[in-house]
Amino acid sequence: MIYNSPFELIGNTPLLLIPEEVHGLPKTKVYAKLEYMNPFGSLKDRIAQGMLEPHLDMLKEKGLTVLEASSGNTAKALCILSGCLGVPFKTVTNRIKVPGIRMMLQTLGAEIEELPGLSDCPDPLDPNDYTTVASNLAKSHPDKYFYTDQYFNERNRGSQESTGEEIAADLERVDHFFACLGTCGSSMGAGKVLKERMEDIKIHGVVAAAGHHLPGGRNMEELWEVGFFRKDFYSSIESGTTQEAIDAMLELNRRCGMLCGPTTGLTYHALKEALKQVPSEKERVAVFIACDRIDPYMQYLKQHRPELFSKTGSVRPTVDGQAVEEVMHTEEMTPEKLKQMLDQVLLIDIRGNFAFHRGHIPGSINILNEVFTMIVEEGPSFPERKIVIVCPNGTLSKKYASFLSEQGYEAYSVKKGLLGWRKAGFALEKSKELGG
Amino acid sequence: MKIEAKSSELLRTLLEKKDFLFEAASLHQGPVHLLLPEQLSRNVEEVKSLLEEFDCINHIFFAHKSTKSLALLKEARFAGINLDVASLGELTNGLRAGFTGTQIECTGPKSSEYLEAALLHGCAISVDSLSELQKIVRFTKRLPIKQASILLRIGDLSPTHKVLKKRDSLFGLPRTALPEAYAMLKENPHITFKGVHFHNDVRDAETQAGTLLCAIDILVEAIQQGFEPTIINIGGGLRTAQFANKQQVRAFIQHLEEGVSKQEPLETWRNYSYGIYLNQRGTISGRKGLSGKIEVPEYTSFLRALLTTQGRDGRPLLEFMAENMIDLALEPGFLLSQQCGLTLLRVESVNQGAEGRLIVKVAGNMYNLSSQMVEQLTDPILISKTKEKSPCSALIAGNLCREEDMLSKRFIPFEQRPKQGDLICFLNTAAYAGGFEDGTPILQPEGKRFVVTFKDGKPTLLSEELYSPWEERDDL
Repeated sequence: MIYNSPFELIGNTPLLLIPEEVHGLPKTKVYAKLEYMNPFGSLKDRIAQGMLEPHLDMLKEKGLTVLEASSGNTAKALCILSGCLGVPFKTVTNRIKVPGIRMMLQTLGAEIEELPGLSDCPDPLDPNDYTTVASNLAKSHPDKYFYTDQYFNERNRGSQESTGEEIAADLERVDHFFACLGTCGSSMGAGKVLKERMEDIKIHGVVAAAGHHLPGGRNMEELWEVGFFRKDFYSSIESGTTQEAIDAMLELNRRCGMLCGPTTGLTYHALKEALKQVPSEKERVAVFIACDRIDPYMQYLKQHRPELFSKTGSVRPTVDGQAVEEVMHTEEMTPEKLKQMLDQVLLIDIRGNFAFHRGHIPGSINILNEVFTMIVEEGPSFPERKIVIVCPNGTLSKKYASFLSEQGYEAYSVKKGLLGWRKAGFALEKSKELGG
Repeated sequence: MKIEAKSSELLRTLLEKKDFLFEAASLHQGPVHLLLPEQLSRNVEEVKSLLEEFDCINHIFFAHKSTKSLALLKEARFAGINLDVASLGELTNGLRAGFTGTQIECTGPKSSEYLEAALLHGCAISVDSLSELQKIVRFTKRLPIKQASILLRIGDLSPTHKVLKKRDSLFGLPRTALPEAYAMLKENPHITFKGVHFHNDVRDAETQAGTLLCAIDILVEAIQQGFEPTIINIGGGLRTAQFANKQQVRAFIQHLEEGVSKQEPLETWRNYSYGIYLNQRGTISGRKGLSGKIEVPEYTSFLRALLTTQGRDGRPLLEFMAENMIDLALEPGFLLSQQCGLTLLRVESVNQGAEGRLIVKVAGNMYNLSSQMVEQLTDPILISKTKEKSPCSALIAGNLCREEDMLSKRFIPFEQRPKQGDLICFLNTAAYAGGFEDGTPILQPEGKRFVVTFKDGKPTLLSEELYSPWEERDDL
């Protein structure tokens, strides 16, 4: 199939049936509208296209920089499309919490202005709010910037009507439509068309539960601050927690062939919960928006579901590979005991050199943590005498003491490390410059 | 709409003693503030047990400015923590409460008299400006002391951003003044440079971590210059919510937002919306004023997040600090004095207002609850000798004969209709939320503080001056 412009790649996304054995709702056909199959990976491709399309000639002619306040999918799509037009793209955003997203935008050539802001929900009256900063920038340099203003641009919602058209063309009847609320553009745009075409359709908005955060979505408390939000438009506002969203996402990832992200998971979770509450006698059809891909969210998942990434056992014995119980039972030496035995032990301080230089237990030598790991993992390399390891707080040193004991040394960890030594009120020694 | 106040076990025990509360309220014409100093010791234990989690040496300084109560100061001394004072008056109070000079840190701008007293008592002085440091150099030569300990307070530590409005502090030296300060300190080795101090009202850990990182950089640089500072004092501003159930506040905020958005009547006096309004773009703004009170991370998660933020070497800041023997100092005020008391106000009259809503007028005013006339957002509790089921909702108005003097602009739901002679009881009227900051506008009587102690579960009243935690807890 031949396309003459990347703009043509956007839209016409598939509708995928979710098997009943997975979602478990009787008499319900559930379809996912795979918006992440858009060329740049999310439903925001439509918005970017919609907001730029009427201005293509003007942008090229004047060479304006496209400006938006976004740290996510809108920025990505706008950046790529701007590039295709040969104009620069700049985004003003709160600190980007997901490094992968920043790296992606940098790769694509975006200019990024990161602000140390708090709320991801725009407040147009806070002078330090990222949308205000973007809007002021555009106002003060009208000859330089073209501000797309996704939160208030009617073309945002307008461009999402095509999503509704496509669903209406594919399905004769839809009873329930679920979309996550971000700018509210997609749910209002697609929802408006569906309402016109489908009798009695219920449009459900989905948000994160109060106090929870999902990338690109709002939570319960932020709704009234969003430009397009009209409560009456929705039959219900559903919500779910971060963990529920991740569970549902994994179900879609692992059972349904969908490479979607956590926000899609939230929407799917809300759909299942809401429809479970209202069992149906006759067949019904529900559609939800799968808004973006999983790829940028690995850090997010690592933060909220660390057990997904736990390490598996290694072949060669390593310091970090030791069983937790073994390390826990390592013998510790109290600072008091150590003080009495200072001249009888090999005392190794594994802290950084700056710290060691500042002050250390008298008689200790400094071998940096990472180096020490390499040394001990290579095999025995110390004289046969008592070895005592000291670290800042007695945690790391336990691992080494346990590892060395396993090798046959008489090794101890200083209880509570240097902190314990200082709390006991014992003196430290400072490194002296060696004279020639 | 209900917004119930959080209450500690001690507060709840006290609330059960209805007769005792009526007796206490009868001892004074104006509002009666009942203090539970023991609660402060419990709060200290909680903070200490949190700090136990962090492997670093720490120093807790109780911020005097959160309360005027002498009893609470004595209790802080009893609990074994240090004191942060910001005026000569507070320093005097601290000494009276039993703190020694070396347990006191003096902050704030300093008059000569304040500075002299601080130096003579051997307090650590948080230096506010270069001229103050010069004064210290001069005074140490004149006063009969051999040495002085100082921290340098830095006023512009937050990481700056060219686009944003800067949020420098009113207090402290600018970073650019450090070389001059170091030069002065090198010339005067009898002045010990103990560390750096900053305080800002930053509520998110990420931004605060940027500030802490700057402080660490300064300390490291000072060490490389040959000084031996060990302390970073991150100030106070540690928060903990005073609501029994955050969902109730959220529901109230949503009620305001929806009402303002649709221009429908609110459950408040004259449709007061607590700063929430419809902006020129037709959306709702101003939520942060209210939600700021609830959507703030608890100090526990704030400190955990702050100290585990990655530093330059990719390790948690705390780890770097522990390894390099940089100790942490905190100045909690509100956090320690919260839940330490309640305020009893007699109901003077109950009548129907012009809007047909019930207005409860009490023998007290906003100055009795708060220095800034800030509304206590939580529901007060009605204490009555009778018991009946007559649910209603009412506003609470004060005795200043001023339209602004409302103790609640929300309609407070009551299960029983308040009547003359009942008591209205505000919980946790401590610290900045209402530091028993009494005044006597239009010559209304000011409030009076009493200490409540429990002996075998029986409450006893005591004057603040007579209270001694050492005497009270002779079981120790």
